[in-house]
Amino acid sequence: MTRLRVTFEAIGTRWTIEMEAAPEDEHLLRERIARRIEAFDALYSRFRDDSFVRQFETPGEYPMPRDGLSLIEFYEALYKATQGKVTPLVGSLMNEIGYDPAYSLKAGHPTAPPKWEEALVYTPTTITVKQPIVLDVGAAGKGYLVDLIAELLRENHITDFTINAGGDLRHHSTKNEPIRIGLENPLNTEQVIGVATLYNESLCASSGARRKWGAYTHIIDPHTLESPSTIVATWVIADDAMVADGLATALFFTPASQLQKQFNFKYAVLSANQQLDYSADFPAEVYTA
Amino acid sequence: MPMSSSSSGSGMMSSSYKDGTYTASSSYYVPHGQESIQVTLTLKNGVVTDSSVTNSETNYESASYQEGFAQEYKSYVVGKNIKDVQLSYVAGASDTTNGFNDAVNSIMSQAQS
Repeated sequence: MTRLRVTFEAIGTRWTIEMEAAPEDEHLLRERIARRIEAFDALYSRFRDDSFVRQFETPGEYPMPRDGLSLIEFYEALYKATQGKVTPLVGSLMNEIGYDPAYSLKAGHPTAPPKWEEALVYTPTTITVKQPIVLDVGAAGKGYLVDLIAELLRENHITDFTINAGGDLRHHSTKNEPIRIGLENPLNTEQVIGVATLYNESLCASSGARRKWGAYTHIIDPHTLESPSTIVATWVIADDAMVADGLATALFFTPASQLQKQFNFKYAVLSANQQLDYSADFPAEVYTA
Repeated sequence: MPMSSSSSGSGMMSSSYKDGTYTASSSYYVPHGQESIQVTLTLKNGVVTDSSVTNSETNYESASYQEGFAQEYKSYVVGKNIKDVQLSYVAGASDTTNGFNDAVNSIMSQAQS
């Protein structure tokens, strides 16, 4: 067994997977990971013309993908907990502000996406699209894919690994070895404002620092049609990366106390005035003035 | 607190404290840093007639704190250079791919032309 390090680009960001594995298994593992990611991307990407969800521009009844139910159920819970501010229907608005498949970054005329109840109905086996929609699962989709890759690694008998998908992390260890995660300063990406300790959990960060153009970042409020400016970065620790990822976005719009009624998580929220609000159980050393 | 008050009713105890307003401060450490507490007492005839306590923690306006939910801390933070910190990974804005970076560079140069 050695420490393998696999890096690649996928779903618009850079991935690093470090794991304890036999060196002769590297090629097969890379292949399986790539196939799993491609299958996910072909279903859920807003950025490809040929994806499954691009069909939702045409109303109708569609089959529920095998891995789709968990994702849509979580999005529904998030939609309710944030009073619609985190919505998978935000894709149309993202296209309008310029974060479109061509990355034109030209802001057009932003309009509010439809309400969930007016557009989507689902059962365990079907998705019914009632009006043309543009689905974007960026808020929780990357985290969900991290969970799916973690499952793939465990199926391949890998017990010690860390998946890092552009700052969304999932850690698995059978040894008593936590990892140290720097909390990137969104105002200066060469710095960190603290260090969190992660052990057998997921940590997801959200920040507009790298996807910013004009008045917008890729995080947009579907009610005000603006990108939030008071909160500049969030970090969430939860068992599942899907949950941590979705809540990291939700914290831009909804207070932690509100989300804690629905979900179990640890958090830190950084405001533009450099104030960090964090739960008492957020496992981090924070650098103060 | 060095102060105490005694009743002046029976007249049996004579107060050794002069009438007036007295203040004492103390600071203490909590996980997120340092807090302070200040107590002010007004004495008249050896009896505390007025008192107030100011605790820096009452400056917190966290709704969760007031509503009695899970406790929250607030701190003003500063950055440390990544190269000066021992880290496994950094979590922040997702790294962008060249495609996105090229797009940003393109609109920046358009904006400047």
